[in-house]
Amino acid sequence: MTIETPGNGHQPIADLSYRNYDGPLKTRRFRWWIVALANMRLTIRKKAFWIVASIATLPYIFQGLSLYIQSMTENAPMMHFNPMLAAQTERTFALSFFMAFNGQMLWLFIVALMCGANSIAADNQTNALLVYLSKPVTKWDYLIGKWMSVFLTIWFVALAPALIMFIYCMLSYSGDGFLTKEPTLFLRMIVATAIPAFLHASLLVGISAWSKTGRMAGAAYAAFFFITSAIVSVAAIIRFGMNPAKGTLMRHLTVEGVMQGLAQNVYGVTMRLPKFSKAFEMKELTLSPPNPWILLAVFVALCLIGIAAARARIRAVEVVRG
Amino acid sequence: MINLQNASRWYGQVLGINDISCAIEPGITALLGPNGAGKSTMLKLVTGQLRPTTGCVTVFEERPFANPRVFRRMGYTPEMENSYDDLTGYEYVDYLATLSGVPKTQRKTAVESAIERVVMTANMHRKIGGYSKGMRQRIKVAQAIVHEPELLILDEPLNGLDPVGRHEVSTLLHDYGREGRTVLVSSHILYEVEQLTQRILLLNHGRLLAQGSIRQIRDLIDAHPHRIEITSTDARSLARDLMGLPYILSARLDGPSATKVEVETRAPEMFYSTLPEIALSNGYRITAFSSPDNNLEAVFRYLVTDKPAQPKNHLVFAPAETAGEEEQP
Repeated sequence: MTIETPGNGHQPIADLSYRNYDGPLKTRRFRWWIVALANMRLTIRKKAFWIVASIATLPYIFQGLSLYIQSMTENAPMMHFNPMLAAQTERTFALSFFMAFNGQMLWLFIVALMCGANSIAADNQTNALLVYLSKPVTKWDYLIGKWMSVFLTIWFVALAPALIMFIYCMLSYSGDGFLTKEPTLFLRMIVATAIPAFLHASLLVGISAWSKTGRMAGAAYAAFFFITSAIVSVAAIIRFGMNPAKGTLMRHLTVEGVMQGLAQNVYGVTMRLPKFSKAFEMKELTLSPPNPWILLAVFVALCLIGIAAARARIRAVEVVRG
Repeated sequence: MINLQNASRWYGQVLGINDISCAIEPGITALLGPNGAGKSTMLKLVTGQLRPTTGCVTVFEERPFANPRVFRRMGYTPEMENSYDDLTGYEYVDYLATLSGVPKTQRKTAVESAIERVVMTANMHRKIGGYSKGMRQRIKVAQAIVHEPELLILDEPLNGLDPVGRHEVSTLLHDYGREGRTVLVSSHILYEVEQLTQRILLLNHGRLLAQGSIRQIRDLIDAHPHRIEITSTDARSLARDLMGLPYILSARLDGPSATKVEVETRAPEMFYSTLPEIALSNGYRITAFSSPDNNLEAVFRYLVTDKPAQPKNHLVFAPAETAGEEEQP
């Protein structure tokens, strides 16, 4: 029986130079991008993702059609008797983009669930963190990679149809002052579409990091999303009644409300809706953008809480205290 | 390569490992111990997933905890499942090769080579969700070796593998050991660990019970004499003659018409040199000869459970000064 203790003469290590190994491995500068790319690849393989992403383009298609119809019927006598059409004549292109953005909210939420709920929870479920965090990847690389993958996916779904509509408007309405009247619209569109991506990504990675399965993370986020909306709506009705023009800020203190309120501020639009009184008189209901600074503070707080929660939970080994 | 100095890890009031000091050098080392002995905690300390509560752990002369410089030179295969079912084996290994820093130009070759070494080339483009347990195990090993690490750490690498797979993975680990790399293997399958290496670390209740070669450790276990089993056509007479030797503690026959005699001695080397003389001078025909407790299982049993297996239905001869008595079958 041989004894394999090195150095005792029974089992010499043949290739001792190997100990001075200085191999060709190069640690990437942006290691988080590898994690992000892998996560996005998993998302874009799902058929359901493309179906929902396609549905999310419909609000922009509707707004594009609306602009087209408006331009075709601009001089038609009928529109002066139709309050909805009359309201449209006053609207800016920014309003069209904002209304399309509002129409996307639910679909962006679903896309967020599809790409974000599983992001870290799946790794928790499969113990993949044990492997990932034994590679030359820091906890921050991993977290930023996961966050970025969710952010970029949602942003893509929000931004792609907006860009197409922007190009359509540029080609069709340049003569109507599309670029000259609202020169910052492109920039505002970029920022506004990033808002839901940022908030969903931050909250979802936080919840996903604390979940063992993607379904659990999805259910928890959906519950948070809808229950806060319901509570705030009921509280606003009790406090301000049914008039949406009153208590604007309070009505926006939900996940969806923060995104809508900030986007409204970014686009700089005031919503004007027709409202019929009890005497069947038509009045104009003005919905001004809520206070941006308070909404921004809530937005930043929610994002930080989500990221901090994920940071605290991401570890390869679950330490159970006895 | 790997050094632990008075390393302890406590989870609140629960003990992980307690005051362990050891050094692991290149070659294959097996980490053994019953469930809850602290094997996984030790591996997690070495792989930088946990920080020691007290003491010091160094790998490549650096502290491994959350240290990418150490991770770059290390490959790790955890015991648990850790792969996405939606990825193919190739994609999984490729992803982890990228994370390990394998340059893009060399990645395809490195991935294919690692997969080939675990004999998974034919299945590398199938989704992991469709893999058997053994195939998953192999792909886990492939991701650990894809960047040709200097230190390879495997937690129960032979679990779920069929005999052919076990042989292949064992061969791979042997090759790694021979190349001068450090391989640390945790396993419950003692027989296969013994085929892999003679160098062990034995843990129990969070403490390091023994380290070194199985033979050296066995020789140091004074509490349990060596058992040597001899098969002979005249086992009864042979037993009688052996009992005359001063260093024989007992002799046990396997029944009235015995063909085997098992002796216990604290001086195995002397016994091995004397036995041929006795056999030749008395004309005993010895057909088989073995030492059933000179192996890992015996070392493990003696050190961990301290309960040597007692054969049943045996006749026992013992000198008067020992506690042995004759038993009837």
